[in-house]
Amino acid sequence: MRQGFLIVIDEILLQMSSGKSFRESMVQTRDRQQNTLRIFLDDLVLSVVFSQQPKTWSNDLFFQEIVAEFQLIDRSNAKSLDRLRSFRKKIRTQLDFRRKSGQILSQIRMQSIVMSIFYGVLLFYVVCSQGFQNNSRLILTSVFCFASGSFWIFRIGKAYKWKI
Amino acid sequence: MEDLAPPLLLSLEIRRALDNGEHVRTGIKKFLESKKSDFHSILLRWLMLVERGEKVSHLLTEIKSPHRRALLDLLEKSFKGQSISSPLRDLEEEIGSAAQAEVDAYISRLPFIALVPLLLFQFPAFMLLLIGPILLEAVSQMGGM
Repeated sequence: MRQGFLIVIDEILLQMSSGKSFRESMVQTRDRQQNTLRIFLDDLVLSVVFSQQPKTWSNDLFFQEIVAEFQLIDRSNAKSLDRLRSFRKKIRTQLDFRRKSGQILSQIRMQSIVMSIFYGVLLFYVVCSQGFQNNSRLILTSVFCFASGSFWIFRIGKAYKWKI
Repeated sequence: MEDLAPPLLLSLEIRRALDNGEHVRTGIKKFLESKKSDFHSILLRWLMLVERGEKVSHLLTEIKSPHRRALLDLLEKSFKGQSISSPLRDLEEEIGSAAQAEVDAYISRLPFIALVPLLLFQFPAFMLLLIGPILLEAVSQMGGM
C-alpha cells in the first residue's frame, strides 16, 4: 500500500508541477488508478473534499496520517508542492528502512513457518504411532519448546531499540 | 527496527514543519504523537526545560547517542531564535547515514540472532519428538530387566 501510495504522490506532484491545483491533480490521479488503490483514493478524495465534516474515514493509522496531511495541503494555498515533497520524503525514508530490514526478517520468518510445517508433520506421526497418552509429558514439553522458539523468532526485530 | 530511528523521525518531522512554515515545536509535537520510543520521555523533559528557559546541559549528559545530543543542541538554537534549516539538513543526512549503518550491522547479525531460538528451543523440541519415545521405551525396558 505504501509503495503504491508513493507512486500516487509522484503522479500528483508531476501534475502540480505542470500547473494544476492540488485537488485537480489528486482527482485526475485517482481516475487513473485501479483496484485497491482506487478504493483507497476514492476515500482520500472524499475526506479532503469534505474535510469540514468531522468523520473517521478509516482506523488505519497510515490512512489517517495521509488524510490529515492532504487536508492540510488542500487548505494551504502556498507551498503545497513543498509540503507534498516533504511528506513524500518521510514516507520514502520509512519505506527504504522497512524494505531493508523487512527482507531478511521475512526470510527468517518464512524459514520458521517451514520448520513449523515439518514439526507439525512429525508431531502427527509421533502421536499416531506412539500414542499421546503414553508420551503426553514428552509431547507437551516438545510443543511448548517449539512454540517458545517460534514466538522468539517472530519477535526478532520488533523489540529492537535504536542505538543512534 | 520496523520503525525509523527516533532522531531521524524527529528530524524529518521538524523538516516538514519548517517546510510548512511552522515552528519547530509543531514538528516536535507531531513526533511526540507518533509511536512511543525511548526518546519520547527525554524529549518531553527537554522541551519543558527549554520552554521554561532553563539549562538543559545536565539532561543532555544523560543521552548516550551523540546524534540525539547534536539534534537537541540544534533544536535549542531554534528556540533561541536562530535559523536551523540548513544545519538541520546536514544533520539529517548524518543521522540518516548512521541509521543506515546501524541497519546494515543489524542485518548482518540477524542470521546468528535467529540461530539462538532455533538451537535453544526448536532443535530440542524436534529431538524430544524424534528420540524421546524411543529413549523412554529403552529406559522402561532396562528397568524391567
